[in-house]
Amino acid sequence: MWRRFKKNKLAVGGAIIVVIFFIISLLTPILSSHEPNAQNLLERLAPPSARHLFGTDELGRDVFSRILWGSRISLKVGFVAVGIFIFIGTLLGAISGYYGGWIDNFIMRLVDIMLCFPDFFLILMVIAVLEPNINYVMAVIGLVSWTGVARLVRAEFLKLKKQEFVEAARASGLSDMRIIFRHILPNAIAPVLIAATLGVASAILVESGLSFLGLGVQPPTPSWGNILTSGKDYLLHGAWWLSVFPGLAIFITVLSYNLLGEGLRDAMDPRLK
Amino acid sequence: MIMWNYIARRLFMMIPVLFGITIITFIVIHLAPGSPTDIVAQAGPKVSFEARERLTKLYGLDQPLHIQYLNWLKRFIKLDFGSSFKDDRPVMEKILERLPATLFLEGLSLFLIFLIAIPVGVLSAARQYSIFDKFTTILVFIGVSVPSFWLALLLMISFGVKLNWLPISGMRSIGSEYLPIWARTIDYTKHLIMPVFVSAFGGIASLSRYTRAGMLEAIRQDYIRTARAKGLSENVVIYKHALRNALLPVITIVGFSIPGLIGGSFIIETIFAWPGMGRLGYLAIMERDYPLIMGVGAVAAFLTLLGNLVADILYAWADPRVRYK
Repeated sequence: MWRRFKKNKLAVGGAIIVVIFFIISLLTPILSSHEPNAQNLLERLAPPSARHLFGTDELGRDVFSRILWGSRISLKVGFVAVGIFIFIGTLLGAISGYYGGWIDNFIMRLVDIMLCFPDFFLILMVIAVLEPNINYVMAVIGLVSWTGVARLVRAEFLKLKKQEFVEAARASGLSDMRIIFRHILPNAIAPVLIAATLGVASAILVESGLSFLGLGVQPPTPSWGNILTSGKDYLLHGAWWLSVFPGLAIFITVLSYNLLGEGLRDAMDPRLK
Repeated sequence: MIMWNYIARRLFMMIPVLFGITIITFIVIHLAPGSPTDIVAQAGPKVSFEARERLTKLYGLDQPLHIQYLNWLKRFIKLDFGSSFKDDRPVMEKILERLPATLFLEGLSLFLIFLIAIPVGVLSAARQYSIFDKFTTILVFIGVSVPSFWLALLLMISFGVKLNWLPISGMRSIGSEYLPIWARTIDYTKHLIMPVFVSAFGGIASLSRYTRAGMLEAIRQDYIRTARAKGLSENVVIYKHALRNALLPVITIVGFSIPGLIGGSFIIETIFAWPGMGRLGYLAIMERDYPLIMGVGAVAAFLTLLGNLVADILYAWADPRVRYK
């Protein structure tokens, strides 16, 4: 499997960028050239220069440093939100697939209902009704996006529970919980891992969209999405650097997680290759 | 006859889902800290205690939660979502006057998605590993990874501000209604280009990937080997035998892409100041206009449900096996 993954140049590229961005976000305090929130009204909306690599925003803050600090926010949101939805999705999917019957029916109807709401609007609605802050954003993205994982895990469980090793586990008198989590789940982990990788990409996209609309991470805390809001507000001033650089950061991050996720899928499920 | 049975069964299955939609919408709104009357009171600080009492009575906020829900549900069935906090106009009226703009924009995008994605997906599967296939694979990754609002900003900067070719907001220019018909058509088309392109972009990428995967799977089936063994030409095998089977699941994508398009419309309509339901919903959220938020949410969910139903019926019509399940 590792060999198949290594042959996929795009996926390896994705993995490398994922690691680089991870290191960058860890080293942010060292790498950033300015305080992310330090205002300098004499240098408002300055184009990129040696002093301000990516220019400055409407308050004279250094965009390069803000993007670096924003990477921490984006990764945090990505990982926490994915952690939440993988947990919920795996748990509900496992119960649904293992027990079947009315409980399966109930959970799957719940999935149908959730799928009817445009994800983004549901998140928007909840965030707006509560108050926009990063913790709610992470929690809500997690609470809304679990349906896909639940379906995946359920399908795996339906397939696996009929196999002999499960019969054997049951015959030796193990509890349901033990069979579900120790015997079946480890065999169903591959698709979950892929979904998690792709999930980081979509969570980062959603967070940046929310922040862009002013419903995510609140200024002055820098996030890629809210820097883009300034980009939109100062579009007519020709301040292109406020739009180009943060967007590029989102794009490259999301792209690399997508490449990594798809690469993992191809490596684990070579049917389509 | 079987087809009607199938449709009836699907409609019946929609009932619990519809019920669930109303419950979720209701719960979300009641997550709000404080009472909706606070919002009304905020608008005018002079609103007296008596006036707030009256409002509380009017919205039934003094009733227990389940009674409130049942009352709300009764009105919901009659498509009465109450009136907007902001201007007191009926919510349904406000939504209905904006809905055509959204449906028009999303309909065009959907059309564009199918028009481009299916040939691209089919071709790249038919010529797997060719340069065309590799090129489109990369484009697909770019397509699903670009944030739509960033793409919109970039287009606005280059085609709107720098080159000044296309208008960056709205549906028509001011005063365009006095222009002759052809000039008006050009004006509308210019306003459409960027929003339609941006909202179709991600969809084109994911649908062409989906079509490619479907094609590749179809090509691997036994009947394809049979067709080849019969000595049919490669073109007939791929574009007739494989294509027909690969396109079946693509039909269901119509249903699945609707929530994505509607979800995207909130961002895209906001950026381009497109006077549709998405922008209405966004403004409602920013102003905490609860009846309007609930109305937009319910209509969006209902449209999605409708899209899924249509997709299922089309699928059953195209593939008789489904009807008997």
